[in-house]
Amino acid sequence: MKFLPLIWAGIWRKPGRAVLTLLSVVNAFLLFGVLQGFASGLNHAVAETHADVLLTLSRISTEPLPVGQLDQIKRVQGVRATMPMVPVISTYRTPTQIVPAEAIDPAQVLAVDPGLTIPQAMIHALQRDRTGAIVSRVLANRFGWKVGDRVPLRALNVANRDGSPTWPVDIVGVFSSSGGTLFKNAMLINFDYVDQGRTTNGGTAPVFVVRIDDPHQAGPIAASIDKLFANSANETKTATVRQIAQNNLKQIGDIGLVINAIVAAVFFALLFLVGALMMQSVRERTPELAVLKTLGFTDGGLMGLILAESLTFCLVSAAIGLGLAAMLFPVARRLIGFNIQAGPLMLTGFALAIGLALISGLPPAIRAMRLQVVDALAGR
Amino acid sequence: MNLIKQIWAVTAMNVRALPQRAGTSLVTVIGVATVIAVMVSLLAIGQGLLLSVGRNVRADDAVVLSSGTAASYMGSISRTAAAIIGDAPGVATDSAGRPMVSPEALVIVEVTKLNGDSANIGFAGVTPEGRVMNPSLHLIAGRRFRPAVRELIAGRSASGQYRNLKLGDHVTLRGTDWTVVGIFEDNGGQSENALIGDAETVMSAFGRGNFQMVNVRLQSPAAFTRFKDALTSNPQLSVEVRRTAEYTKEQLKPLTSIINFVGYFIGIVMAVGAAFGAVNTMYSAVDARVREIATLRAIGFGGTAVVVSVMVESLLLAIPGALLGVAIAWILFNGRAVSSLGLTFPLAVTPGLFELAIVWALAIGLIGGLAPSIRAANLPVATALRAT
Repeated sequence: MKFLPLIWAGIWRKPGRAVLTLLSVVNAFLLFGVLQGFASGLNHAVAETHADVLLTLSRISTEPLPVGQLDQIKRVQGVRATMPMVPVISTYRTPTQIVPAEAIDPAQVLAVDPGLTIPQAMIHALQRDRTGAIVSRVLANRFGWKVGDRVPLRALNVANRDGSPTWPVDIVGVFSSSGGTLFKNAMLINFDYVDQGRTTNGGTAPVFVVRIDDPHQAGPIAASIDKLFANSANETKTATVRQIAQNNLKQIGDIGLVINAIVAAVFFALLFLVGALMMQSVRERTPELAVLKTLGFTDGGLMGLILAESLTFCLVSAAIGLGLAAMLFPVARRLIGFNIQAGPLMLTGFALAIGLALISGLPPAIRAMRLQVVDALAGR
Repeated sequence: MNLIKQIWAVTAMNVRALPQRAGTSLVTVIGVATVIAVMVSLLAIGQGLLLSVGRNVRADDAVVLSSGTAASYMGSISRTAAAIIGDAPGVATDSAGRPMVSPEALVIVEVTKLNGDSANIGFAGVTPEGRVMNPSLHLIAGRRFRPAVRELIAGRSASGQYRNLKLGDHVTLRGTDWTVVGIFEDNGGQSENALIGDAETVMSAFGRGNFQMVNVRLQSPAAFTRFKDALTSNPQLSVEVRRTAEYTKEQLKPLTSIINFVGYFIGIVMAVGAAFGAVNTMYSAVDARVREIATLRAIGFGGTAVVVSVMVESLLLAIPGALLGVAIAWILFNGRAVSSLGLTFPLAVTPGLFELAIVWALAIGLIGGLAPSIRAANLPVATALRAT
């Protein structure tokens, strides 16, 4: 600890150079934090889904299933509640303002989604008003909606009876959602309103939500639901929300691999950057280091000193970069509802910083260690 | 003239001294190369997607969809409507005088990847006349499907990626059995990831009464408006008419804009880091030559010459970085096939991306050289000469 001032002075020997390198390294750790935070947010979103909620979809893509099938599903042993759901993907004022509206059955929605916390009164309000809609706090904040507003949704996938894509809805409630619900960022509207108002696919839904009693029975129950409709015109594919979320992520591609590749590339460049800084600094300090050796510093001690310098530098940069990234995490939660686990991410970040410091600090440290006092002082 | 000579002299001196500062100079080259390699690789995903989807699309191609459908496979166009579309003004005719329209019965079917995962691909039923529309499509193995029997031909990419789609295989699609009688190539287009069969057979097998979309070859790209107006004003039809090129681009827009956003975002953040590194390198380059620069100033070289020479050196370090970065991206990823959201396409490091890389590298070089070059020009000559 008593060497800390010496180490600190060594780092700030050329303040301009140190600050520039520091900014580079901080920048890299910020990028690392944001990318890994994104990956961890995705994983967390998958992990917090409920294991006792199944979705039944058409075996083929997004074709609608007749709601009559729900009666049969309800009779399957272990099924607690069912609900048809029609995603009405809509836009608000501009085509980029996406509103994920879900046409659902208000009487069943609390029964099928254990993660949803909506007061019973708000459910009643939705049931009373055919064109009613309740929206999540996230969505209400994004578009500045409040109770009583009339919102003309422009549906991308469901046409209204008059052939137009417009579905006017009235906001009757705003709900706060925690993690683990199907409807975290959604707007909920009445299934009946959409079903009776549309021109095609009446009496069908592309998604059935099925709540079961025992999460451990998810596999067998899903299999028996699919068996009910095997070889019929409307074959189904049932899986837990978690499995479907994992599958969807896989469909996009190996996100983790891409992120790791980018981080690896960035840190590869950093090795050279920090290495060059340390090497330059050691080279310029040759006489000073020789003096330290004359004063009694051992070879190992000098090597340790240089490594400690590199280590301090990298850890400070990492702390700043990761700190900046952590400041962005609450923003991510507010905007996209991402819950990022900062702890493990910070640990990986600091481990990377230590690795970076040791690898890039080693060549200059060895140079300092091998310094011959006589030669160095003579400027040879 | 004198200025140019001065710049040349100073720059030449700097460049000759580069090997002495190989270590720090290498930091800039590697920094820029990394930024460019990562950014170009990411953007190559979007480029590859656009290229592969747009490959076989011509400017005189149009597509007719039923109005108000989100995806082409959800549409519904009756045989009568298809006939009306064929007779519409502006439609090109083949040598026999038949209109060049290709109604398609489009069904999404579930297939199994080689690793056991399931995937959805398109199965298009085409009419006998419809096949003349796409001259780039040709069989590389087997034969054509016959009408009225459940035979299909599989695209080369689909055949390689999914189970039971090799020549001669039997495959069950939505509960019906089909025989793979041929494998086709389509100039690397997206249809290589699909299946093709006879329209009537496909419609009867999957219980469809209608086509889902109609592809049309127009007399000329300019005939589009005439064709579109004729169809949209016809009360018997309720259809949407689009240029195929625009339609496919629009369908892909959400995906490509996300990919590009990620590419540019990461590119910008990394470029900022690399610029700091470049500034550092150039500062030490100037530091190492304080006495030389002061000497030049003392014997009458102008400040501009010094500024320009430092900038040139910075750019000279950035450009090899860009070349190296593009080369790495090209060697590692160009042509490598990726699959995302049911599409399979090769990454493409295009000339456009190469230009972009050079522009970014120049920007990083300029930013990196600016402050150090000004400092070099403003060195107090007397003090600098005494520097050790």
